[in-house]
Amino acid sequence: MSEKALGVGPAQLTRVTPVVRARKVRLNSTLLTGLGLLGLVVLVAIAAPLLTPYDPIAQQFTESFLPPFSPGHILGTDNFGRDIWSRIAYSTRLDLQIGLLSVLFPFIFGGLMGIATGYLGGKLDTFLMRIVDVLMAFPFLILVIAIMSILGPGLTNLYIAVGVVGWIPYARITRGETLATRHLEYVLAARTIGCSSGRIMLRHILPNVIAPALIYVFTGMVLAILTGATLSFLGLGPQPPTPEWGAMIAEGRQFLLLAWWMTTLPGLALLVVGVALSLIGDGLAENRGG
Amino acid sequence: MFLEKARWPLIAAAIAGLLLSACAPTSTGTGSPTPGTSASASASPVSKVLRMARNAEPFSPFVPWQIDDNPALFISVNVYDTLLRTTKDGTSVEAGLATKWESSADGLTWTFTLKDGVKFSDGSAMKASDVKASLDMARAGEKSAWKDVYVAIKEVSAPDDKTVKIALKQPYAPLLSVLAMFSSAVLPEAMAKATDTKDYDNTLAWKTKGTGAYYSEGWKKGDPIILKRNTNYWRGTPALDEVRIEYIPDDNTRVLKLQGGETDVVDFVPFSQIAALNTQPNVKAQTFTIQQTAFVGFNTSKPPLNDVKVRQALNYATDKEAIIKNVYFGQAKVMNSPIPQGTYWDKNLVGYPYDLEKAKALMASSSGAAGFKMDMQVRSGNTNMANTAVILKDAWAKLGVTVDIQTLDTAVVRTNYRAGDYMSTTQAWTNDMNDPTEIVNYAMRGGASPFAYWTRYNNPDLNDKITKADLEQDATKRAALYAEIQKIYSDAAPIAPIAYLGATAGWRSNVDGFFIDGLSYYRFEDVKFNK
Repeated sequence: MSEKALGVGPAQLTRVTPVVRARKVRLNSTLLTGLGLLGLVVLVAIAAPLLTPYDPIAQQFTESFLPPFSPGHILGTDNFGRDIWSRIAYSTRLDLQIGLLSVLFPFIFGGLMGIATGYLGGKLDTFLMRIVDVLMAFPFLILVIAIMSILGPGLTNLYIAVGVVGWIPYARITRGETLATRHLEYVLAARTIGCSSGRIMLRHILPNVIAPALIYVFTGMVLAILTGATLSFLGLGPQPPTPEWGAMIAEGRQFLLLAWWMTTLPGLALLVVGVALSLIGDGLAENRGG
Repeated sequence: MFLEKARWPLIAAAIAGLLLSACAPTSTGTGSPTPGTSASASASPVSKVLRMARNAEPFSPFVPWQIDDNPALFISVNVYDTLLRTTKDGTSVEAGLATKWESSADGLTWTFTLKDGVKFSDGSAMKASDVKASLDMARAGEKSAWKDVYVAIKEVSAPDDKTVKIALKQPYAPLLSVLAMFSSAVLPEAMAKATDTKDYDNTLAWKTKGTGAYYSEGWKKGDPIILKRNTNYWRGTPALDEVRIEYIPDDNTRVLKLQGGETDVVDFVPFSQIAALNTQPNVKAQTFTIQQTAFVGFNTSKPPLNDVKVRQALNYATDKEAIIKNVYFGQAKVMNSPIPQGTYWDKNLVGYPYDLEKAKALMASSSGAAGFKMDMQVRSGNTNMANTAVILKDAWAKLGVTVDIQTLDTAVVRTNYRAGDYMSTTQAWTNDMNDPTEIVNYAMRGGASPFAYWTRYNNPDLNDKITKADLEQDATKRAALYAEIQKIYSDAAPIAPIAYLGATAGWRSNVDGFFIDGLSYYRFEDVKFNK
């Protein structure tokens, strides 16, 4: 409304923004390796039924504790005679889903919250940052476990618990960036010509402060997957017999001296995904810095 | 640091031993129970400190009637004694602090004669008044956790220092078993009374003064528990100077410590590792038969579990052998009766042998024929229960039952089954006394808390029979009554029995005499190092 009153059309504004927004993502070797690894993992997740010869929860007591490279069971079997490769492959779907979904809400909510508090300041900023301080006072995992024990075990509750706690780093990142950005000339210019606060935050500040938060998303995903695995290790995540890496590690632990592969192999899977996501995050950061 | 600490008492003992043997050249060596010869025994080069690694720490103080957890109980039986003792196989009682006991003709008064010369670990003599004070605290003390088992007792009196009389409200057959329970142990009168006062500092209770083979000078959470030899012990001075019990919660770590010689005895060896450990030099592992059961409890008030046919069908579809093989690695026995393998257990009861066809037929003719969803609440951290649940989910799916396994915190599972907020849950029971009255009253009597082990099963006719069995004095008639009780309950199937479990332990092969008795207690009084 005010734009029209000032006689400034949208076309003139959009001409300003690309200058500061457009930063092409250049591929570097770190990023490429990460993307390659993740692509492989995603492929396994999508094609799990085609790649695995067994039902991941089918029990076959006559074939329990087969070591890796046994005929028919490339990665061996567990105490119920279930095929480890099938369980790992199916679990990929669940773990990637956990990684993605438990980062989505915190990223959006935390990111917007950080920009809003950083730009608007005042009482809203003080209030929200005190909430952040309170949540920050607890170690991440302790708080998630506390929430889980109130809500009860299960996947949905896991998303809720991680979501409630997980938005904090995003809010802090974008708030910090916004504080640095809000006095820059293009923001002042936008304000001078009468752009609404909403427009300034979403069109001018957001594209410029989101990159560090986006890089943190990949670290966050690793953290979320590890948290999911930790929670199912503690029996709070997906319930048995659902295949999940953390749960598989927990199940295998009691047979550590008898069948190392029950714990080691899902641990390796967790490692591969963790490394892939971290490499992507690093690659993006390298890109930004260089 | 650990080694340094452990060595000091040894060096001190060795020096003391040398000095003493210099004074008294006719050293007697071993075997004599006379107090005072301990020093010459510790002069031998063999270590006399037994190191044990255990899976849990005590929670209750070492006050017998306040104990509500196994780790504290296992300490209690080593530091305190009872009038009677349960025999090693756990099926009857033998003399303890009492040498003689007899009942009046009407079965209402029992007279116990105490053993001469029994002393507490501080050297003071044990008197009948100590027994009376302790039993009074156990049955009526403010903080007693076991009042229920003593309700038949009207009065305990001590007419003289050597005699204890117990008057009953009504004849009560399980009395002797009750007196052999850990909660009936004897403390010095003043201490017994002090522990029950409201403002008593429970941390003082870690320091014991009993007639048992060992005593504790105190303990702090996180520290190893140190049991010192009681040189006044009435059954003869124990061979070990000291037992040092460390808390190592992880099963694999405990076993590795045993294999590496960092500890001498470990408890709770995983069933999967018993066989493997026995193939190794210097280490032994064993499963001891104890009166313990593993089963699934059904909430009989929730449809369709209120239909006996549904419960029987689930029972027939339970392949106990498969569970024993895969979860307990063969270290358990098929559970045929609802009660543990103790006194009056009916070994001939058929129970529910695996029969899938019969199960399907029963289910088809029941109110659950269309299939149904059933939650199964499992305590988190209990891997054997979790694995059992996974097998049952698979097995019961064949009857059209969708089992929804819910791993919950132990406290939550307890709250839920107490409130009746569950359909099925994995359970375990260990007898605290050799008489079946405890399990039968807890697990089978309906109508009031604990509602037949929280299954909400209630059969007034069975309740009457349970009361009758408590009153019956004749052993043969009691056996017949308990057989009938087991049959009625088994047919009604409020639970799905699975396995009789054992207690496992492992030790270095130079340890001699470690034994877990039928009620899962272990006493260090007969343990020694050979060579």
